[in-house]
Amino acid sequence: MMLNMTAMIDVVFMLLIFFILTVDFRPREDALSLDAQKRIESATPGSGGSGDPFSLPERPVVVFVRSTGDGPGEYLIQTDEPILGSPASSAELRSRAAAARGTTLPASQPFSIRPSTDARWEHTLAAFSALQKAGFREIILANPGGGT
Amino acid sequence: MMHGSPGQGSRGRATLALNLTALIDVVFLLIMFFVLVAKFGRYPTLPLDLPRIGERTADAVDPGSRPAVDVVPKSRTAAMGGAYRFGSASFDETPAGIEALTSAVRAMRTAQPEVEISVRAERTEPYARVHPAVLAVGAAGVKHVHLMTVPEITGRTP
Repeated sequence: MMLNMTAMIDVVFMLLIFFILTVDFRPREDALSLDAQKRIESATPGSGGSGDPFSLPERPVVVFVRSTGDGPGEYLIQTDEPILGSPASSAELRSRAAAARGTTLPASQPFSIRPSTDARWEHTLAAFSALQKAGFREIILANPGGGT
Repeated sequence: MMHGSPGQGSRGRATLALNLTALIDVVFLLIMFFVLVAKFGRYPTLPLDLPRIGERTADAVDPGSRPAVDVVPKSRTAAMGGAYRFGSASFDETPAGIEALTSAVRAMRTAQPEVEISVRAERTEPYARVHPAVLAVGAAGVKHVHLMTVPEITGRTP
């Protein structure tokens, strides 16, 4: 019995083309979500817009972020809150913030992340993510260069 | 069906039948292919080296599953025709460009009031280049902004 290979080769080639064309090598992406109407500082401070930081119920703790290099850990974090001080990494910021939440800092404590103008986006988000994971929800992304 | 030519002698009639099996195989596969790869409602995004933050979460999404404002790296700004990209349009880093970006996002929000927008930027992008994009999305009245990241490779927790 002769096996007719033509149809099988047709199908195999089509499957091959299908998988080559449809495979997506790009990784799936995660999101750090924020409420844009509350948590982005207005471009013109004090303008009274919905992003006005002064509309927050409490004075935000300012978190300064400064990059010292391109690497994932090459940045400095400084806060104006003595309890949090100047953590050596975002992991330390997270643990200090989590420990302070509900004790020395109210659970609804607002934060204002104030990166320097040339601070890397990754370092900014590391601080943002650390505070979010510590349980804080009121986090503002401040104007660049607003601080140290 | 055709008849043998008279010159070939009298050895009977030669028939030419079209085998439809292979043709139907291929046609069905083509249909399947186009049905499956059609990316309905996909939004264009640039391939970017996103910040590597934290671990994989369950609600990770495919790039392009929601509209995104991409911050074009400085090295590719000239080639892409602008510093910010939204859909297939590019916008300059100037105040006029940011205003145009805000208008484009606002137009989308008007059409879809509950639209959620992603902001995507390379991990080494200076904050001063990303902030205007986040600000523009906020100024357009979009409520939910997603700052896109990928999981850390080394497993270091932030």
